[in-house]
Amino acid sequence: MKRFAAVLGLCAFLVQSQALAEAPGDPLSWLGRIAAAGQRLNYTGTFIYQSGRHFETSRITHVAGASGEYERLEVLDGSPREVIRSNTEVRCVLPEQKTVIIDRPSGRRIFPARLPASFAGLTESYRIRKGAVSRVAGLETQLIVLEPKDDLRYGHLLWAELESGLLLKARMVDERGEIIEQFTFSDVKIGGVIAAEALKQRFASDGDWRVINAHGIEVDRDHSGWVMNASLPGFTLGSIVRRPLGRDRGEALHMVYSDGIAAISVFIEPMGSDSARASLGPLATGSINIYKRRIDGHLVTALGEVPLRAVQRLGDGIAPRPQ
Amino acid sequence: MNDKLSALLDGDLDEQSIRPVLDSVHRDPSLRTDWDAYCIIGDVLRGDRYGSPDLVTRVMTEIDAEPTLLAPPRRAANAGPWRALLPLAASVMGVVAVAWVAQTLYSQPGEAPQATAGVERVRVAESVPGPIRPVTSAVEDPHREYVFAHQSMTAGGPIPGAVQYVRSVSVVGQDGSR
Repeated sequence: MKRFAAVLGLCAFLVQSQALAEAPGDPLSWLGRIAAAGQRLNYTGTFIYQSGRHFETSRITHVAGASGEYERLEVLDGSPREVIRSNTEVRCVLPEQKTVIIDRPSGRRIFPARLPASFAGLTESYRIRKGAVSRVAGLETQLIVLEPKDDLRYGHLLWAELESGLLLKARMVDERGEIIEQFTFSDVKIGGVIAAEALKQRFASDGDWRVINAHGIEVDRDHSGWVMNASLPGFTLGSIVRRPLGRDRGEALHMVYSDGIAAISVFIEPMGSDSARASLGPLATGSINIYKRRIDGHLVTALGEVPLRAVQRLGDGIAPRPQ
Repeated sequence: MNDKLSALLDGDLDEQSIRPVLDSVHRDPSLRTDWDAYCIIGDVLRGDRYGSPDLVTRVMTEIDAEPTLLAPPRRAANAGPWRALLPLAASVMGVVAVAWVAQTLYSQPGEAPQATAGVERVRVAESVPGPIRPVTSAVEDPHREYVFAHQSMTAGGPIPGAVQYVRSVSVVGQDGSR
């Protein structure tokens, strides 16, 4: 029996010494490097997006220059869809629906200020450590593991290219380790000159296209007219934006909560004829969980790439500010 | 190395030999997984951990059925129960036990920091995709605008901006509404 006690002791020793071996801040500085690389580097490549059991291939081209960031994403499977992003505008082009959704990022997110100030807050919600070095898309990568400390968020595995820090693979997993979603570059070229041609919108979106302007206006949090009675450990309110949401639904109030990696949006809009038909309760679209409820003549939609219980808690916690 | 691991578990290693083994376990994720698995298998065999109820019986029956395996050459005389049992137990329990051990490693948040590296390999098997369903033409997703607005506010994490938008334009998640 003594022997087994010794074995247990050794197990505990191993757990401890492993934690000590990870120099504090080291995996965190990797996260900073990953974020910076994604914004400052030129790259072009093909990646596979997996959500549950489904796959889709897309091509991405990113150019960062003196005048800022320019990006083009094109889905290669199924119906053609593309996203064009510049400093001043994001356009989501859906040729089959003849729809273009446009958003203008607010000033504070213009390159390069969009870099998160620090990932230190993440340690409140995740255990962060370095994993093994392995190959992705033919390049050596360092694995960074973010393991959730509670059941209100998913786990994240990030594979960053050793030299540049560019994220080549990202996986989001649930508590059983099942893949919720995954991005993997199958082929990527980092650095070099990229022709402007590669960034051009492929589909002309004029004529009888439906243009949805999703541009939001920042709202002072004391004047939103709504309060959040629920608290979600690790998640803080980032900003409140008033934005039009197409189909004559009027304006929606959009509150964004984030723990540094995962984010939850809460939309509040007046009930219209459209929204009266909207199905309530829990829904999901791919890796994103959605929870809808009615309150006080308003439709509340909470959604995010987090477990349903988290979006539900925020969705249920929202209430009109008492007069 | 696995021999040394089991010797360590048996308490048969002297102090000088323990350090290098621990160091290797520390460095090598696959060894760490072996270590975890050995610890758990040990727990189960001792009855400290609730596993498959008849696991121990099955293993023991198999051991009885193949007594020759229990007489490895020479050193076996003073080999502790671990060294004798482990290779055998591992082979007898085979895939079932490995899957079960992996499952146990998974479902224990406390042990997860050690376990994840090993878990990776198992996950590969779990995530082998079924037949890839052809992506049919996009349907009108009433939530696309919400998702788009959500993405546009949350860019800035480690995943580059435009890559995130694939969630907005993707049709892979819309089967529920089809």
